[in-house]
Amino acid sequence: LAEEQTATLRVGEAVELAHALLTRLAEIEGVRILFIKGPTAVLMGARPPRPSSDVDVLCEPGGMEKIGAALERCGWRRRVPESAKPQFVYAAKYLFDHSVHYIHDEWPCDLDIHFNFPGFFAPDDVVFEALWERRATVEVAHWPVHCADFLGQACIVGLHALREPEAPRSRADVDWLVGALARRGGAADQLAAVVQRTGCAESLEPLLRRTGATVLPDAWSDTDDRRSWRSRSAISGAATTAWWLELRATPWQQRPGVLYRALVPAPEHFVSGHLGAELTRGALLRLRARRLMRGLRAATSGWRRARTVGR
Amino acid sequence: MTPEETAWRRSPDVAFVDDGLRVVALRLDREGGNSPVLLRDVTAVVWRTLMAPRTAAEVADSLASEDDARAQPVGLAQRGLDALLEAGLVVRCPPGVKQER
Repeated sequence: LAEEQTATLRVGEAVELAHALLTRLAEIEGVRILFIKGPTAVLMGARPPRPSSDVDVLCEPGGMEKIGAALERCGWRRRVPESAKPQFVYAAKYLFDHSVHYIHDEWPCDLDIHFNFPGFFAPDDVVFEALWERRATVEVAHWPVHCADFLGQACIVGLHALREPEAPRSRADVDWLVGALARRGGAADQLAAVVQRTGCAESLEPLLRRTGATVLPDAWSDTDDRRSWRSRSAISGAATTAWWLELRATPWQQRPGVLYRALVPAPEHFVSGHLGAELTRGALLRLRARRLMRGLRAATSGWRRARTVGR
Repeated sequence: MTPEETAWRRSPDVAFVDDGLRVVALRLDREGGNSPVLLRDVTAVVWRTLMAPRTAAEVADSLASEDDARAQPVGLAQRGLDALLEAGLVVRCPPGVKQER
């Protein structure tokens, strides 16, 4: 009889068990959380089945600190420490700051704790309550967890995809949603009601157009958020574009420093957190080289996009 | 209730994944120090038999009736249960619970 031992987790196992762990910690802390994307979106039928490597959860407003502290007591830590120098100073306004990543040396998955979700323009508490009221409960790792229901997941999967609408995976997700909504009688109109309440009519417009849903204008018009959404969508999937934007806005004398950070970033900014501890120097070099090649290939298109943004 | 009549069940505070090849369990009854535990070989088999409360004798019967029936199932069942108990993954059924299932 082999003795039990602390498991070296596989990614799929870690993702499922982390759902249970987060649910338990949230329960202990009295914080409401909703799982979004990932396995729960698949279970709800709002995303095609595919493996996940991280866990996404939407936390009720005001609950982040409690959840973060509880995770840290269990050995999790922020992927990029708060003390670390941010990558972008000027280009940050074109990017979405919407979550905190946690990692753990023994867990090969990231926990992505969202304090909001880009594309919803209603206030965070309105969005959370709208999704919470419609929540579903599913079993993950034989543990009951709360998640956004089909329509909530449809909004989130759609918004996530439409942040980078040209990416093959995004196209596949939107196609899937269009089919899933069509198969459920009346779902498109029900979706329209959720969309109006959470203020994502503009950001979900490409999906809504395909479903034939009629959405009335919403009351949320935070122009900064909407501008950020348009810019981010315009520079979708292009870190290179963000670096061009950063470089363009940086005073000349500071540009060499920005260029160095772009070409030789600190590992926590480009290496999956759970790989960090076991990464050899050679492997790190290979990752750097691959990242650099990708950046060079995207340099011209990134520059073109950067010229269209923020002028 | 004699030791032979004691029924065991999975702790309600354990989450687990089982892909058919291995079982990984996670205790959630204490905050901090939550390390997943890998169940191997007979321990995993015994865990699977505990979908409902079982006595050690019933677990042994399950082991004996498997396709690859094991030698000395009684001893193995007990050792599997002991290991699960030590890891805090199973609990004794309150009297009457087993009959109610």
